[in-house]
Amino acid sequence: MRKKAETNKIMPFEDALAKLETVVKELEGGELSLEDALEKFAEGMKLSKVCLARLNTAERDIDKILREEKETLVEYPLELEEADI
Amino acid sequence: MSVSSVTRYIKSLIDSDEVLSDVMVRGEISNFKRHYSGHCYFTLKDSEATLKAVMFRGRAQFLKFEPRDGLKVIAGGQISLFERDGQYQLYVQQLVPEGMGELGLAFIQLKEKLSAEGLFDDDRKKSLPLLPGAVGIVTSPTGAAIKDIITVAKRRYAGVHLFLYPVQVQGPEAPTQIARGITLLSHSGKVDVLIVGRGGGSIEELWAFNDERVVRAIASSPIPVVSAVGHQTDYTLADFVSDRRAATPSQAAEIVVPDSSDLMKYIHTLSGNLARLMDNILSNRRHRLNICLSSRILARPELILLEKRQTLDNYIQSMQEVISQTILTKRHSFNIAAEKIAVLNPLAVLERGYSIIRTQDKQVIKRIGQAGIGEKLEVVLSDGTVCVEVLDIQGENKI
Repeated sequence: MRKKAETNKIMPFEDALAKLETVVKELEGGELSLEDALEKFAEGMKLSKVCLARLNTAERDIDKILREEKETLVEYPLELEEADI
Repeated sequence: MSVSSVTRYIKSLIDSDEVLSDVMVRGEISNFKRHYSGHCYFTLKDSEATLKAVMFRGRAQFLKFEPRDGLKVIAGGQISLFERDGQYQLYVQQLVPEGMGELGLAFIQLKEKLSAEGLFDDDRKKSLPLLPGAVGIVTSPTGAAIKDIITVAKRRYAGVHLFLYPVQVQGPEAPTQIARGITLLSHSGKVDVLIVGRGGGSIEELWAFNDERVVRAIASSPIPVVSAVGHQTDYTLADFVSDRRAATPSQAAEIVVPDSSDLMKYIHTLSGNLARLMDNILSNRRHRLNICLSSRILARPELILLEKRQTLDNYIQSMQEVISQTILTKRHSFNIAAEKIAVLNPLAVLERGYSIIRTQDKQVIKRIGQAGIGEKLEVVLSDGTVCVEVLDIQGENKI
């Protein structure tokens, strides 16, 4: 199990979105000091950027075909046109 | 022997026969009748014989297809004798179209077994991630299914990572390969959710998805699994055990991958709210600050000074008043005292015509006994001294 997904180690989208929703609720509450409000606001803006960045990623050539070779999973680029088995 | 006893004897012979107590019969349905009670009566026949059959409501209600005349079926059950009619018949427990053959019965039996184990229970179902980073796919690398999944997934969210574990989806190798792929991908840590399936096909072609190994591999997946066995009407066991069932691979991609533009809209709304709320908070604070700033004191701080100065002036003024009053009082007392002193001044008495007589050695003469005839005395007047000589001395004043 050497591969601990490089893509999954960043904050999961759900968590970022849930946090963003919490921040909005807290600001709506209106109980915050100005300093806390500014801090939350900055955090919220950062979270929304994180979320949008996740949604905007359009990497190419990231899809893989996994084949088992000698008991391990080996990744090859997923190219359907050539995969006419 | 009575008819009843003969009949009962025959019935006991039939009932004690092991083959007849659990038999599977292949044949064609004829004379099919579903009684209003729900019981089904029909005849099974082939080219050379017929067999009466009955399927009671308790079993018939679970039929997945509508039996009809001419349909080739396999019926499982027990043969016994209906004493009233003197007729032996098949009491049908399981009935499947022959198209499924023995597989059909195996399917029903496996389904019941896995269901009893709780593998299809709703509380086992895992919820899907809102936005999967990576999606594992177990299907054929060549079929339309994978193309559909890729197209739909990428259209909805271009950033999704797809991992395909290629398998044969039909044929003898298919179940092992599919189960293996599910187990490997679901435990690989690479993907958040799994799509398992194939495009549409006949029941036989979908059969790998009824395989116990496949079902168990799905059941033990630590991540959610969406089945996409392309068949609108028939459910495979993979569909039952999966966390979500999609009718087609395209639909599976829609279920698994959210439309990122919807999510973007939502996040834009949230960040818009955030900005608006922050604006509100800031303008609220600014307003409160302005109220303070516009207060009289902060607007004209010199007023504080002026007030203080005025107070000070007041003090100074009253102090001055007190002092001059005191001076007046003192001066008045002084004048009175001075007048008194002036009254008592001996020199003032001399001014009024009195005089002081004293000896030459300055002894004041107050009695006649102090003077002697011929003695020289000094008379002190207001403006000087006169020297006199005593001529006579008489007692008593004659003035």
